[in-house]
Amino acid sequence: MKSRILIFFVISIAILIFLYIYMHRDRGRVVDPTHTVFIKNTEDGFQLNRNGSPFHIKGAGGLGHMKELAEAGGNTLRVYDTLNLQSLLDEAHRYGIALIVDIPLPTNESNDTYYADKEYILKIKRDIRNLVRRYKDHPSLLIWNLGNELYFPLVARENNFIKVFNQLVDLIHEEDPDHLVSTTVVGVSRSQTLSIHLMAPKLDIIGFNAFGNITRLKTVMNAVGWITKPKPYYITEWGNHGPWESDTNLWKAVLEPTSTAKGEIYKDIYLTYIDPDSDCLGSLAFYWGYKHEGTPTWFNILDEEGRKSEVYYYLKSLWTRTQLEDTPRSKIQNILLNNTEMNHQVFAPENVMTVQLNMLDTITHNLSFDWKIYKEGWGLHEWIAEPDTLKISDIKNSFSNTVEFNVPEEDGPYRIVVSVQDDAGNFATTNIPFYVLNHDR
Amino acid sequence: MTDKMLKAPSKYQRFKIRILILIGFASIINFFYWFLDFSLIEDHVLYWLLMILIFYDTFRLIYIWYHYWDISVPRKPKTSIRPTVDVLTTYFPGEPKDMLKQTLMAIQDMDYEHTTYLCDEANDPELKEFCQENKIIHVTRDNRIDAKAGNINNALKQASGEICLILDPDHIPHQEFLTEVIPYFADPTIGFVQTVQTYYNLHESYVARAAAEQTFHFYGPVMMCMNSYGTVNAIGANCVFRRSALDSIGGHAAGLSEDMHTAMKLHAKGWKSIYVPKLLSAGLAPATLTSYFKQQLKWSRGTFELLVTSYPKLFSKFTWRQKLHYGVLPLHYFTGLIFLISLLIPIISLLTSSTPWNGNVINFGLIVLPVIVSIIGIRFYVQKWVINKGERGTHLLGGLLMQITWTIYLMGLLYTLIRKKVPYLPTDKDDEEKTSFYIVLPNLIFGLICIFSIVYGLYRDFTPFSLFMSGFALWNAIIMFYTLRFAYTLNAISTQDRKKMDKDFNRESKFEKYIFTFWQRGAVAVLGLVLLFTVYLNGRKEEIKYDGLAHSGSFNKPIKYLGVFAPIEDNGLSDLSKVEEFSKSINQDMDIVSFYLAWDKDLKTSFPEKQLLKVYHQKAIPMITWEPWTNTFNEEQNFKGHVLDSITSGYFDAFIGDFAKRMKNLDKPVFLRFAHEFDNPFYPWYDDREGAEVHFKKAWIHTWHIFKEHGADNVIWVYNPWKPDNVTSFFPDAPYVDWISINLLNYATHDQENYRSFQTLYSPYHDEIIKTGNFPVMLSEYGTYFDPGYQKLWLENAMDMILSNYKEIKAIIFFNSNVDNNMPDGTEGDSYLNWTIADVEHIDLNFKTKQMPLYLTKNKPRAESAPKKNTNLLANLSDIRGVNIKNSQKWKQDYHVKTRKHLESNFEKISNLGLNTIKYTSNQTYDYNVITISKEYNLKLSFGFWIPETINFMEDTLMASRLHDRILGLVKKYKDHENIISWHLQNDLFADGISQFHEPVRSYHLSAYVVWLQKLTSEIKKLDASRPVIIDYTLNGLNEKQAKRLFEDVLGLDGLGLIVKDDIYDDTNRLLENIRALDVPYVYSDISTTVLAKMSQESTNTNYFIRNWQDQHQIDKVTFDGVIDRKGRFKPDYFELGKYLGSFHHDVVPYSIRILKRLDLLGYPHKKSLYFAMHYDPIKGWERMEHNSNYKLEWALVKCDPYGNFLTINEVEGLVDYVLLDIPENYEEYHLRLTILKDNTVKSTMTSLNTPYYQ
Repeated sequence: MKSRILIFFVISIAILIFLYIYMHRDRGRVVDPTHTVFIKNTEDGFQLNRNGSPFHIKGAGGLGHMKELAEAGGNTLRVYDTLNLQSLLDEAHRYGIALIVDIPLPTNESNDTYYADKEYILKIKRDIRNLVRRYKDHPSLLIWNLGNELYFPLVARENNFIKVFNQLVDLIHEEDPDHLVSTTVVGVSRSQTLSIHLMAPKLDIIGFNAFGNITRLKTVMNAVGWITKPKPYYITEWGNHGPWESDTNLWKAVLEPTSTAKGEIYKDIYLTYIDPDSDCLGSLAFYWGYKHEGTPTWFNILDEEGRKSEVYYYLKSLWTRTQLEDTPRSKIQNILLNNTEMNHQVFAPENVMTVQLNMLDTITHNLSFDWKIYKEGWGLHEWIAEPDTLKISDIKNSFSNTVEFNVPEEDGPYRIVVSVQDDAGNFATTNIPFYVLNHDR
Repeated sequence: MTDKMLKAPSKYQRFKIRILILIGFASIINFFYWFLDFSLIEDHVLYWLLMILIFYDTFRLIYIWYHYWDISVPRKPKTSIRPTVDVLTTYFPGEPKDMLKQTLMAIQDMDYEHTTYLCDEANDPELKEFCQENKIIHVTRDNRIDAKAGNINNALKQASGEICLILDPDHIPHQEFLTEVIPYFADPTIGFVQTVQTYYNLHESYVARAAAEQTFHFYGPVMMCMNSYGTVNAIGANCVFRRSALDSIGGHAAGLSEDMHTAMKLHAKGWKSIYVPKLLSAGLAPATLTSYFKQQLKWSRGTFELLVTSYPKLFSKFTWRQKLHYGVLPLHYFTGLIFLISLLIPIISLLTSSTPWNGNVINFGLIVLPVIVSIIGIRFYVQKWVINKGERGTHLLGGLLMQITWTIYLMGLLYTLIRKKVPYLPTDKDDEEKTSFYIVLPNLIFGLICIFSIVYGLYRDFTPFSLFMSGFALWNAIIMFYTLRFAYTLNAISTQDRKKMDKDFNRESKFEKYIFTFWQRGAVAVLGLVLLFTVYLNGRKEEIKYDGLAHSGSFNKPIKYLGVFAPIEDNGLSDLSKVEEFSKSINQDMDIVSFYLAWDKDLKTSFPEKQLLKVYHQKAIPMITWEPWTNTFNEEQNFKGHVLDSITSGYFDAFIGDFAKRMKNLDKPVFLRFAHEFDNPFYPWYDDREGAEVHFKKAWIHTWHIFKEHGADNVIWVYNPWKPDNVTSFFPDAPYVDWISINLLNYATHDQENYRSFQTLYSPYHDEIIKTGNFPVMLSEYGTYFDPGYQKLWLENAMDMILSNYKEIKAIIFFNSNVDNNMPDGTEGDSYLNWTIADVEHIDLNFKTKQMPLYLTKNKPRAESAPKKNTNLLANLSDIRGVNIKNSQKWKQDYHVKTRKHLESNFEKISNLGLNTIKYTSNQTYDYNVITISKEYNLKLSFGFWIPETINFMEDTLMASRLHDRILGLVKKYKDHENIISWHLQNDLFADGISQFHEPVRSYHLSAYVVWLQKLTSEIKKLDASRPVIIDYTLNGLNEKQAKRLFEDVLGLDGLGLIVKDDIYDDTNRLLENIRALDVPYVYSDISTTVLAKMSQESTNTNYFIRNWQDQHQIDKVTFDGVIDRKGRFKPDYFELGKYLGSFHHDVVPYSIRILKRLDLLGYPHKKSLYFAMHYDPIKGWERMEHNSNYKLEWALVKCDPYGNFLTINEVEGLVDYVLLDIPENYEEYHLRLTILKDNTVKSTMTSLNTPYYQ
């Protein structure tokens, strides 16, 4: 009996050892130091090399404003589209910026539709091949990011999606051995990260879109290390908490910190989670530009006119490791709706609302205030967001920090958004939600 | 009579009995689950009386089923013991001596050695002598202490046998009695053995028969079960005691129920008992009502006495089953009290016009049915174990006798309470006694009260509930009067017959046998199925209550038409033989045959009348594409300019008029596609000028009017634009257009660049057509280019699209021509295009869901055109301040019952508010109540008849004539009620029914309806010439002329009852304008207070009926348009109306409540979401409501159908100021309703469950 138990243990341990070795065998791409961009596995961990010297990614995701990026000390921009790629690459080259280029792909949810369609697969392969061939020799190119938030499934056998994904990785490598291929994981999903490790061995580097989840990043990567050899990674998006994970009010409208407060938030995150992580090959702040996500202002580091927010100055200080600039800038203290800071106020249409924006410094004549009221674009995804169609009131270039609005006539959730600009090219913004209920007829 | 011992149930039978009992028990639980809904209590006193009744009966039922659970038969031990036996019988002065002597002789004849004792209370010398002669020991005593028991105990002093058998003097033992019973005493723990008691005077009288029936089950399965439970009852007769057992309790116990008392004492001492279900003697049942009553009084008093005296003393010594048994058995005699309650419930209910319960009667039936089936079913099943086959049956007589004895049981209970003694008298064995009238009297009095309450109750309040209660009361009355039969039909059967009947007692007919066997086999299945089925039905009904009914589509499923253009040559005319050929090849009837007709001055020769008439012969309708070519008019001088202008200017009037006349003469429907493709530059009637659409519309309307003037009502106007862009801009709209048509031809083969799928071609039109409203669409030229192989694909794909996405397409005309020379670019080519279908037989072109009705190819029903007599009785009505009573129209589905109470309270409120008239729609059930009670409140009554929109006046003449007869019947019946002021034909079939048809079906239906109305109104006038007849009409600013014509067409109509919809008439000026355009007498039949108040300056002295008095609440319909809500509470509208009427002078303080909902994605399963109650404070603005004792909040989910009708309302449990709602599946179909209740007034608000994106 005893001998049986012994045999059982021996076999089990043997299997485990075998599995460990099997899983940790190097199935990745062979490192070739002659390539423009490659990742070297050194004693201190992975090291990204570009044009023969080590390169640490410091930058943001967006669609331009590269001058400002370079001025802030950033060296990399992630662009989300291949539209106008030539001019973007050229502009990047002008400012010495490296580009991470997103190649959009349908997610795993399309496994049974797009990925099962052979003609479609041929088409995207052809398109991607053309794209890569066309731009592979551009000096600004850093990484091909194959798909954003693809929801890699943790499955035992390759499905259509994984098959195609790997074929595409090989295809890009074949066409362009000089640059890396990455993909991004939504949040810091443990299962998706593991799936990429197990299912896409030839992928060079994993990117994480990490907001509130950035706290879990080290834990997840350590956990992956128990199972297989971890891949190099970098942070493809980071910033303050996203609208999906933020606080909400009574009717579940998201509550956004003022742009002034966001500066400190970015700093805290960077110094706590990004800077100290020596395994991480770099990070991209979100979002270098202007977009609607939850609110029209949620992630904007720059506004439509390229004005700079507080976050810009904090990032500059972090990237350049210098003191925070002490230039005079518009800084918001708080916003008051009918003299209270309460962010769950309900109004009846015939009333008038008074909104007041308080600034940290004295208000001078070189500040101007843009006031807008939007219908709450809740449930919208950013790629179909048309905040302007939701705009119902717009007071531009007011020089007063207090305005009065007539309460909108239609029932429903709204948001007052204010942006204050100075003549030095800075802006600050905040917003406050409110609700309209008509009297019952 | 057989003396074979019954067999105990086999394992399988026992299992079946238990299953049956479990089903019965489940039925009871099911009943209570639904019945204990306290929200349905109407009258508390009656309800709880009813509950006592129900609980008692349930309790009794379970007790009986408990005694069917474990039926057993003792095994007779094989033994050689021969104990000594004493047999005792008693004599009480007055008992017949012959009977006693007979008994004594039978005792002597028993085949087991024994000593016989006669315990003679009378010390009768005759009996003494008889005893001496027969070696019977005669015992007597000098007192009468402890009655029968004392008598026996006295004898026992002398007797010394180990076993003693006590026989009643009427009980004649069988010879083998002792031999059968003695062996059971082999077990020394057995205290007594009881055997069956049967009667040999079963057929002496109804009372005897009934009394015996009451014992059949008891001596069968019940006692056999007691045998298993150790609770065998000792009966005074035929009980064999072990002497040592009797001695251990100090002899035979005393009391009125001395037998039960003895058994109790023996059981308490630990003696065991056995029941031998074997017939070993027969006795006499009480044969007169007096003797039966005496016996029952004695037993009930005695048994109650045991319950209150001996039972508590012996309680601790019993086994648990004995505790139960002796505790529960006496409760049987509560029957008296219970029956009193069941007598009182309907009497009180009828006299006070109230009911205990106001749930749905059908639901009640569904929950009570399985219980009743179980009661009967189990009873019949266990009848296998009654002692004799003849004892099987319903035992109705026994039941009746028990019911009429209620006074006696009540007396027994009363005597026990006041501790009054009933003297011991032996059960009467003498039949000669006459029944005293006094014992019958209480029952007769109650019977009369029942009858009186029925008459009075129905006179006062006539509802389904009062009818139900009357039925209940009538049943009670019948029982009460049955007393007389028991009392006075003595010796109804001659002795000889009786003997024969006794002999036949156990003979079963074949039928009885069959039924019995069937039930033995099928009981479980039947009971189970009944339970399952009723539970299912009830569950389904509850589900409907919650979810509402899916509204079944009305009968007017749209008719679709299939047609063809099949010419032989390029002359624009279809050839009927080619049509036939095409029809055969696609195996479908052609409904439309297409012709192209260019304008030709010479109509005499060019009008193809013959061909057109032939089309009708072929059961189809012709369509003429009427092309305004002007070449034949060119010679004339005056004609110049654009053809459309010339039409408008009247240049062509004569020609058009002539054509119209010819069309009219066809006298059957004909589609007219006039000036088709007017926006196609190829045709000369194309107009490239600025404002072309105005010219076109003018010309069109001008033409239309000429046709109308010539009475060409049979023409169906088909509007056919060429480009999608022009669909709406050129559209002349109703009533000038009946159909929109589109030409849909794919001008290429699949390999060509300009090959288009159906969808690509049609969808631009579709997007425009839907803007025009609900017009039917015809594909007036339809086809794809001759293209063998690919035509099939194109056509079949097109048909799929038409059937699934483009449901507005109601007609398709195949362009089956190979002689077309019109090129797609609008030019005329040299060669012909071929549009014929290549392999037509193999293409699935199924389009029609039903055949076109044949009446369309016949003439329309003709309305009478007699000159109208202008009675204008409407002028007689003045100062009508009325309100509609809309609820309870469908009484079976409605939650409101128009009881006297309901009507009284509502009528009082109505008159107090300052209204003087009600409008009520007859549903027959409540007519009587509404008419009589409204009279009591001095309310005038406008009596309405509902004309369902589902009646097909064209085809279903039976339904229509039934409705006609019913309305006339009602007019005849009620015309003498003075408070009725008018007859009102309700439901505007133009708005709701007929208008949903398309031409030509619509005109046919309309004509048929008008003919029906003419007949109806003229006959109403014959019956009652004094009251106006009014018909409902929904005002919409569109069909005023049509309405006016209807009014003028229908003889005997005195005016229109205008239905004014709020959403249409925000602007009262428009409303008044529309009314002026009508120019007929009218009343407002259905109008809201708001609109009425707005108009009050402009229109004074108008008669009106406010929209609705109370919100409707039916199983599948809820409305919120009442002045009071569904629970009878005042809504803001009530105060508004009061103010309008001048009854209230103060303004109602306005306050607002609303629901605040969250930004939630609701579409996940099991999702909950929060909703907050908000109220508006004039100073602070909107605030969340707080807990406050001044008001109460009610939350409810309202389900709607896709048309926005409310189907059901179900309250949901809310918290202080918010509700956490379980989001239902398909949440888009629901609304959340919040009601705030202050004092007796309510205010409500409603919201959809979700906040839409981009709200």
